[in-house]
Amino acid sequence: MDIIYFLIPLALVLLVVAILAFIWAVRSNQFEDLDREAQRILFDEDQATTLKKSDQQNKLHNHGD
Amino acid sequence: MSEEFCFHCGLPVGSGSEFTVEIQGHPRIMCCAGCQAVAKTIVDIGMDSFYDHRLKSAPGTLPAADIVPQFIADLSNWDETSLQTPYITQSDQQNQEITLIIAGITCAACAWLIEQQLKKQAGIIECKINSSSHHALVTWNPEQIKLSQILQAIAAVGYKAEPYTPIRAEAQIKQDNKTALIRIGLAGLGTMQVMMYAVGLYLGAFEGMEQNYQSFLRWVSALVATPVYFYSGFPFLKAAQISLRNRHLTMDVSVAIAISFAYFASLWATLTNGPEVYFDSVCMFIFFLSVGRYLEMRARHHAQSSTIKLTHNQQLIARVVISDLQTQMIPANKLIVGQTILVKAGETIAGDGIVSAGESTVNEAMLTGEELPILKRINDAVTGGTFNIDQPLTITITKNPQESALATIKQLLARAEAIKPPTYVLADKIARQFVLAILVIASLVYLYWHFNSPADAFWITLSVLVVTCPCALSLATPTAITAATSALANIGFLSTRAHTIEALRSVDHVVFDKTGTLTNGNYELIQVCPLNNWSEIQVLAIASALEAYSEHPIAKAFHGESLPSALENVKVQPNLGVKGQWRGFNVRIGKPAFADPQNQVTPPEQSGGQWILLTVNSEPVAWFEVVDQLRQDAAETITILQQQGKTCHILSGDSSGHAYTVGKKLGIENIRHNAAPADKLSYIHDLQKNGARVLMVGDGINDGPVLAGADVSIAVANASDLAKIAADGVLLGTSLKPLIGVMKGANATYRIISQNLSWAILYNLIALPLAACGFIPPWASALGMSASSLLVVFNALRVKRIVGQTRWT
Repeated sequence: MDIIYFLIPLALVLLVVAILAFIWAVRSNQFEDLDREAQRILFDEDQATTLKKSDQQNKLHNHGD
Repeated sequence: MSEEFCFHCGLPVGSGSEFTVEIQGHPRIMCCAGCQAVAKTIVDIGMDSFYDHRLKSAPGTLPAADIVPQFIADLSNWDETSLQTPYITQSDQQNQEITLIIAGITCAACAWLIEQQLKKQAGIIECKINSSSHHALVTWNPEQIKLSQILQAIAAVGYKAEPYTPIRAEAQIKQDNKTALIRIGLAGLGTMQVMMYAVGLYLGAFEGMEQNYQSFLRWVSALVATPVYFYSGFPFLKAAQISLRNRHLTMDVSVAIAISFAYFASLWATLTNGPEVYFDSVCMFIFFLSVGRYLEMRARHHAQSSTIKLTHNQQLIARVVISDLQTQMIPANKLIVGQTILVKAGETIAGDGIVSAGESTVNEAMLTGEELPILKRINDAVTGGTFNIDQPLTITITKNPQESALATIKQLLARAEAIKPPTYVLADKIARQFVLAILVIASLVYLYWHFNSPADAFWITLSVLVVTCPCALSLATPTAITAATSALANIGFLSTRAHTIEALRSVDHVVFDKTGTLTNGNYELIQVCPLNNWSEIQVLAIASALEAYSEHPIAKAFHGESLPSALENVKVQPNLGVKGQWRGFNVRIGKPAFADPQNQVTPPEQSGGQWILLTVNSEPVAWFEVVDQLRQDAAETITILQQQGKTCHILSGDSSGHAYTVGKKLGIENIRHNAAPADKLSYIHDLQKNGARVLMVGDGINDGPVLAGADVSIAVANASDLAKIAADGVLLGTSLKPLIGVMKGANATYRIISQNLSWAILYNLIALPLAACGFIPPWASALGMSASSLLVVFNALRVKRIVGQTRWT
């Protein structure tokens, strides 16, 4: 069980890294407009399908690889 | 054929509209040329999938007709350096940066559409649009594109954009939001860790654990819990300190006592190998409560920033006359007494003053509620913010912007707001009694155990405090209000104050303003009475051809009836009528005194509407009756409100008998007409003296004080800015019908708040005696606390469904 003396401090280091990453994300405005980010992926996908039908086929092909 | 709706803006389309655009392979009907143009632009830039992603029939979508050519023409003003400078920052050597505020954004798809449109323009380096604050940050190269072109590009897809300086409050909101998120993040991550160690400790407690492992886990827990307590828990500690200093017990006191006792007792136990540590409970309390507070804060911020957005006045621009030929544009709030300004036709008058040259009609509806324009000649006084209709006016400024009529009304409004009846907030009242009870009980428990089993006294008291920590209780109201606020926004009602929803529940009298609220300010032709063998078609043809030359609201009633006939020498007489020549005859239409100055003809019997006379060679040929149109669903809304047991009233500033006609049509008996703003306020105060809870629905600046004085008030979508500031909520669409949903939603919210509070209190009543007897181990108290909090949160989310259902009923 002595392994916890190593594993727990290691987990604590990771915790500190996670907290710092979160603080960085908040400070760099990544949580400003949550509605927008949730939907962005849908918009761009659709635009590709309506605008570039031929491109889309290539894309499908690539996805199949 | 059933009623059709404009595919772009969702407004009803008159039958036989010829405006269509092919979108995604289907011809779609549009209500006006404006919507058609916008939809076409959207299709042309390949963004037709916008129509899939936007919220369907989003309330408050701007009909593109709002973007009048005048607005677009005025945009070129923004190219003047003197106007631009305060808004622009130089982002680097070549590029400039500006914040725009955009009206008409209803969902994320709108923001996406505008971004795509801007990115297609040459010279735009970057643009970022925030779909919740409606701000756009645009960086561009001034050598390639002008500011006015950027604004025009946004107008082309149907949105109004204006330069904007975010005010201090908004920066503060942003900062608060970030701090709160970091506190929650820290508490959340910390809780996860400490809970893991707690599982180890619990297992150890059941199955035996070596002392050194146990104390290691305790020390690690303490290490993680310390920043959570001091940083994430800081707002609670601070709030408790403030409320104790004010000798006013709030929920925060109870929360702060529970977490502080638990934290320091656990720390003590860690140092001295005491019986229990509660670090997991401390972290979890702080995490749950911070999330609850955060939701509440977001709802509050949302309300705050919508008020800020609503009150963002369109920047008035004044053209100051420097010499005979030259004018210079300055912001209207920089005007000084004695300056002379030029106001072109179709512009808003920039400041209070007197007319020094020119003659024109002015629409003062925003001030008086009277839709009909008023004639202004030399030496007549004009008020800033009113609208110049037909001819250019030169005006000498007589008042500083701070002392203008608008500023005075704003002061009256502030006074009315100060004496607004307080709203009874259920949770506050309960909190005070609850906290007091808990403190008394905890002390009694401590005393009892102190005499019977001194060693356990402290730990049992602690467990009482932890178990009764009012987590569910303090989540009960904010979660329900938050859910209701967002659900109501979806049906077209924006609540701009924290107490609006709770206040709406108790309303029993609903008072409506007439012009602009029950009616929509558009005149409608309801009766044609041809005289002396003239046919209806003939007289209508002449009348509509004449009125086509005028932009007067009454003239617009004829614009639909287009049967053009050839006219010559047409002249519009401001505020009187139109004259011209038709097949060699002199024809005149307008006020009886204008159309037929010689003979004093009397109109047919008086009936609330207004009579317009048409003469041919001074011979009266027809009477036309026009009235201000009722809003489409006014009748239905009023009937349902009355069925719900609310008494409806009409308060009108209008001096004609039209208020009674409207009242008769809608089945409203309590009517007061010819009421000045002060009369309206005293009417409401009289009702309130008799114990009524009054909801006021209005639109004009003259409604401002009464909106502020009513128990709760709602401004309609096209209301003046001032009315929107004064009101507690704003209807987003052109319909009055969301009012019904709002009432239902308010009742449902209140019901859910009471359920939540009852549950939270019940939970405490059960847990408290058990804890007081020393039966509740820490893990059980933690489990019970989380379960009851989750229950409260899920119950609150039901509001969304209940309100959602009302949308279609």
